[in-house]
Amino acid sequence: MISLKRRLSLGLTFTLSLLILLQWALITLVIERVTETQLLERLESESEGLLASIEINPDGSFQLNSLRLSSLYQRPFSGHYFVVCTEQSCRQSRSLWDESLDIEPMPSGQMLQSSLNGPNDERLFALSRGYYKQNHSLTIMVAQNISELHEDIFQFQMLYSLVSAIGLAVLLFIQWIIVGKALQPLQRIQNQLSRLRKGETAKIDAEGPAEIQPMIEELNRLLNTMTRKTQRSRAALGNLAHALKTRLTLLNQTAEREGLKNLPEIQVSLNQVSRDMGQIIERELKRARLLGSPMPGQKVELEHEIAELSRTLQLLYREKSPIIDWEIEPGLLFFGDREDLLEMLGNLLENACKWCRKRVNINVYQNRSCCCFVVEDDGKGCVESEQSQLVQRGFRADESVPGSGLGLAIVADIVESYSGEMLFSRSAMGGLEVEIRLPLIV
Amino acid sequence: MRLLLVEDDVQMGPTLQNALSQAGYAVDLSVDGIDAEALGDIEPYDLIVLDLGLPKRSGLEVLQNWRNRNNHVPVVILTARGSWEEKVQGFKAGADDYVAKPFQTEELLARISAVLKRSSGTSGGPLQVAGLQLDEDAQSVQLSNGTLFTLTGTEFRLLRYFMLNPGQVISKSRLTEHVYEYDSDRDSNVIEVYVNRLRQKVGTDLIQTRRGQGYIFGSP
Repeated sequence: MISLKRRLSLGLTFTLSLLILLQWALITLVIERVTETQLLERLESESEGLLASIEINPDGSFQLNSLRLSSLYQRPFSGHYFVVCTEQSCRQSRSLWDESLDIEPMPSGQMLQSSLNGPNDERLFALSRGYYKQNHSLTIMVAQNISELHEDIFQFQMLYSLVSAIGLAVLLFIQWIIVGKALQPLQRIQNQLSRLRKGETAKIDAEGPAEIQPMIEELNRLLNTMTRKTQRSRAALGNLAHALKTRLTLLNQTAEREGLKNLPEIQVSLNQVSRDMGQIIERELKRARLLGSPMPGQKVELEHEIAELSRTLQLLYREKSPIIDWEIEPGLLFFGDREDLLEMLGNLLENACKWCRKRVNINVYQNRSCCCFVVEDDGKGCVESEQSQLVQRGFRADESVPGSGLGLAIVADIVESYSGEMLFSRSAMGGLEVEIRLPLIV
Repeated sequence: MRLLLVEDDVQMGPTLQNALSQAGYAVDLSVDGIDAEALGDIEPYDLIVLDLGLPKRSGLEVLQNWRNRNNHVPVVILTARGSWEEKVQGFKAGADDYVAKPFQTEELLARISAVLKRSSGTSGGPLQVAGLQLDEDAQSVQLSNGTLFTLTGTEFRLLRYFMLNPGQVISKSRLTEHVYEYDSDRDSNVIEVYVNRLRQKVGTDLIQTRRGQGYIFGSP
């Protein structure tokens, strides 16, 4: 899955970097071009000035009017040089001292830019130009040391690169913050969804941006509808069972009528039918109301519920008064339906109380993958061959002990609906140990 | 013996009333929650058979209201749902027993007579020693600062024994004998574990260890 944040960040980083790089290249290029053009213009005007100061004799020799020459050409190695050549002779500026520069004769009106090495390894930029004056063609080359200029440009470029790089970094940082801020509501919604899945909340409270808010509302509406439907169908099932069971009790009472006292076989079969129907209703009702997976927003405080259950069982088994001990991490929560939990533990504990001699233990713990319930007693237990039959509907390990044989079958249904597992083994206390592992929703 | 039968079903109510009368009880029939609640408060019944699914006011609510008004008449509830949640709620509200529908009349009669026998027995007040108040019905303990703890089966038995014998040095073997009726194979280490868990709830100072002798309970 592509992360929105990554995608936005990558796109923005790419475009911003490209933009900064382009403008850096443009500015650098323009600076170089502008300096070169200015230099060229200056050399051209120098060249024109020199031409004006040249006086050519009729014999072809010439002299320069030194008064009109800039002092820069007089100081040795000043960085400003010239060479003037006619067909017969050449003259060069005093600044060249004992060095010389190569010069190509140029036809009149032509120009040539070149870069060459001057005295003291100076880098020179030179302009050679051909002229025609007083019927003689001559070539003037003006050169200037550009080492320092290059140095200046280089320094400017370095500084500019540095400023651009810092600017880019600042821009990237700002856009990273903007993207983060823009996606913050999504992060909140994500947290809420995970809380919802774990059952810590019943609906999504986070406000989303306009693009996502409708989705949140729709989801909340669906959750609400689902909860209401479940509650309604549970209530309907409960009413149905209530009505049917009341009728069955009536049937029992009908069987006890005076008129039937003489027909004991009819009484027995009526009672049998009503008992069977009662069990079918019980089992199917409980199966039907199992939810398959926990509804969102449900949590049960385990120690509290188990204490209540133990008290109920102690009242139910008052004559036997079993000692029910539990070991539960304080504050441990079960994320699932309270009724399912009570049904599961109630049946297990009732079995344990029924079969124990005196003691029943329940141990609840949670590890990374599941919530585990271990219920054990100190009764005579159950042989291994019978353990697999325990969950069958109507199986009763001891027919002399009253019961419906439904308890563990219902527990098995609940465990299955939570995709959990149920294991039987012999307890260290002597009796049966039932371990139930319900996977946690991550 | 005078009973109140609260059952809204028009057929079942009279039939059951008839059956109970035949069993030798004087039976009044009530068909809704509000009426039943008033009757239960006014008339001196020996026992009430209460259906939980009642019109106007649910049986559970009626029962809670009686108990809140200190009406401790024995109550057997009739439930049709038979879910553990309902059983827990029923007993928590103060029921003495429950019978799940569908039932046979003899089953109900047996439960009624058992509850009646039990209720004629003693019911002492809460046990109070060294600032602790032990609720024997709820198996819970209230500390002097008001904190309420539920106790597990063994913790309850241990604390009750300590509270009945304050200030005495009680050896581990004596504790074992009185907490477990059977000659169980539990060694005294297990008792130590439970004593420590109990200390965590009621406070370390209340149960002191006498090295080599046992424990002593009471304010230091």
